Amino acid sequence: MFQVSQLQYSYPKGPSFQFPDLELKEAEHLLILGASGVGKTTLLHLIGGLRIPGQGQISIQGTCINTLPQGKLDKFRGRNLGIVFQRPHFVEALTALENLLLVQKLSGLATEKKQAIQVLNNLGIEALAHKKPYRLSQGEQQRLSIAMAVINRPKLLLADEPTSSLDDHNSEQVIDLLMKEAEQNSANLIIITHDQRVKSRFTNTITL
Amino acid sequence: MNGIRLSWRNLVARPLGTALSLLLLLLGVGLITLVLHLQNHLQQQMTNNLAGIDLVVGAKGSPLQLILSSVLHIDNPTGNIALAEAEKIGRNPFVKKAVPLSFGDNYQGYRIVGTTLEYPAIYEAQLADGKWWEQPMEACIGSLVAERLHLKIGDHFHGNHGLDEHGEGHEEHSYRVVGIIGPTQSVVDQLILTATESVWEVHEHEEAPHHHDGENHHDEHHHDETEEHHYEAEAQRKELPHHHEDEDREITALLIQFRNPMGAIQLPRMINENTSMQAALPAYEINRLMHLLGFGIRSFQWLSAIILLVSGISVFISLFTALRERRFEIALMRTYGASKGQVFRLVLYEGIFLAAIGFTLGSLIARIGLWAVSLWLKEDFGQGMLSAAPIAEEYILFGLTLLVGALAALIPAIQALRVDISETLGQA
Repeated sequence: MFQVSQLQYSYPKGPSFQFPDLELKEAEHLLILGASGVGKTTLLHLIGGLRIPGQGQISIQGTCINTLPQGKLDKFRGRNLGIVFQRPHFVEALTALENLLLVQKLSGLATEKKQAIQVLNNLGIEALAHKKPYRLSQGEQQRLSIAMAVINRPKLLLADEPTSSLDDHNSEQVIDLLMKEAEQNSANLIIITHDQRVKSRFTNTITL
Repeated sequence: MNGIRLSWRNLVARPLGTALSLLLLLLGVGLITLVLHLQNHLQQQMTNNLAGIDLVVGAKGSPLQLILSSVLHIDNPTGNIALAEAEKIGRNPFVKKAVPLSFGDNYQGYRIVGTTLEYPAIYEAQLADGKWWEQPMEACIGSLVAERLHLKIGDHFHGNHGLDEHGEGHEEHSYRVVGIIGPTQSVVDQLILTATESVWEVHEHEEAPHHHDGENHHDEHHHDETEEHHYEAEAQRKELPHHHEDEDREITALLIQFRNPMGAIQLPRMINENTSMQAALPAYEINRLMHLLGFGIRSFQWLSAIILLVSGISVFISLFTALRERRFEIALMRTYGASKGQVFRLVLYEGIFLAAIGFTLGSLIARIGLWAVSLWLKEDFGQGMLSAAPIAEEYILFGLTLLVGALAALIPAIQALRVDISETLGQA
């Protein structure tokens, strides 16, 4: 249940982008391919409500997010969206598990330690629960950032170049994990990438 | 994982910056608290000791010295005055109460003061044990004297000449402790009180052996005279063969309470102009003294304020630099639903947290300092322990410290609030 129409964005002193209309039914996945500089990350940030579009509409689960006031948008993002960024970021002062609990807390949901450990378990990093994120390897960090994206069972899971810095094996695994997590919550999964290795895994693909 | 806990974790995650800020904070708060307490104690002590004494009459000399010696009992007297002359002043219509003081002897460093029962009454002193003195050579001792010298009712002791422990003894005359005075938080706690007649008796009878000693001793007394004025009278007495006469009776000072405020205008001038004595207003002299001391206290307060300011800057720098590295996690938290207000508060809490911990540590250090000063005061001045109970100014200081912490965190907090999620996370 995701829809984008007539989306446009212009940077104040930079390029302007026009994006194609998109529509996904429940649990549908989409791969958006494109070379650098075509506005892939901009599109993902617009969909994720991190940037407000100049024109057009973005509707997630029936809510038009581009007209929400800032505070409500923050809460909506916390409840309904999971975003895996190109480079994983964490709250460095907290352990892996505490980062997950923080994400639960920020969304306004109750913090459930059991569920957080379950998610870590699903992603195969349960043993790292009490480690600080900067002690983890790159692949482990990527898994942890997926854990943070899915902990609140979002209806829309976004991933920005999730595989670009990983080898073939890890890249394959990350895509598997994202798909598995999305299917568990019957969520829409949108991956934006220039990584051609990923292409074969998706039926629904567009190129910017 | 709520905001307050996260702020705490962020502080712990950069121990060096946090430690430096805390060190400066505790130094600033500690110094200010210590100075506030000492100043408070000093003022309290002064007020207690001044009690209801409006005017002090004594031998001519420095008025401050007269007050220090006769009210606070920390300096030597300016000399003696004739009892007859003092009594004349006591009969003045402006005078409500006139209390004579005679001193010049000590027992193990504690002054023996000859006076009337009106003197302990000024300080509303109550007996803890025994009775008030009724005849010469009976003594009532202050609570600190009793505690430190382990004197009990019925004990005997000899006074020593002079006001420090090393004077020659008055071996022939022993005082008997008849009463122990309860704590008054005033100078009375450190005094040995007796009848004025006791002091006369000790010194009159002493004349005999002095005469036997002849010239030698005489010289010694002349020598003393230049150093300690209060020997003057005694030395004079020795030169006159017809002592023991009533008109020769002397006292050291006369404490006066006015019947009405007009006394403050009329009496001092009358005494200073028409008699060989001087009159000093304790309130005025103490104010003058506090003003002189005030300079030292103010310098200290400025120094502490500057340290507090520097600690504020340290908190600011620590948070500011930390936030430059933390802007990614701020953006991340915003992505996962944190509002602008939440991230603003997160940083603000850190500043306030630092300030609160710094204040607590500073208060603690100040109390250790207070304890150390107490020990020293007790050793050197026989004073009681200083109270560690919080004083009103500390609550203000607490608020002020929190304000410093909050102000120092304000700019970093605004920075956090302004983090553009998309821009920050788009930086690959």
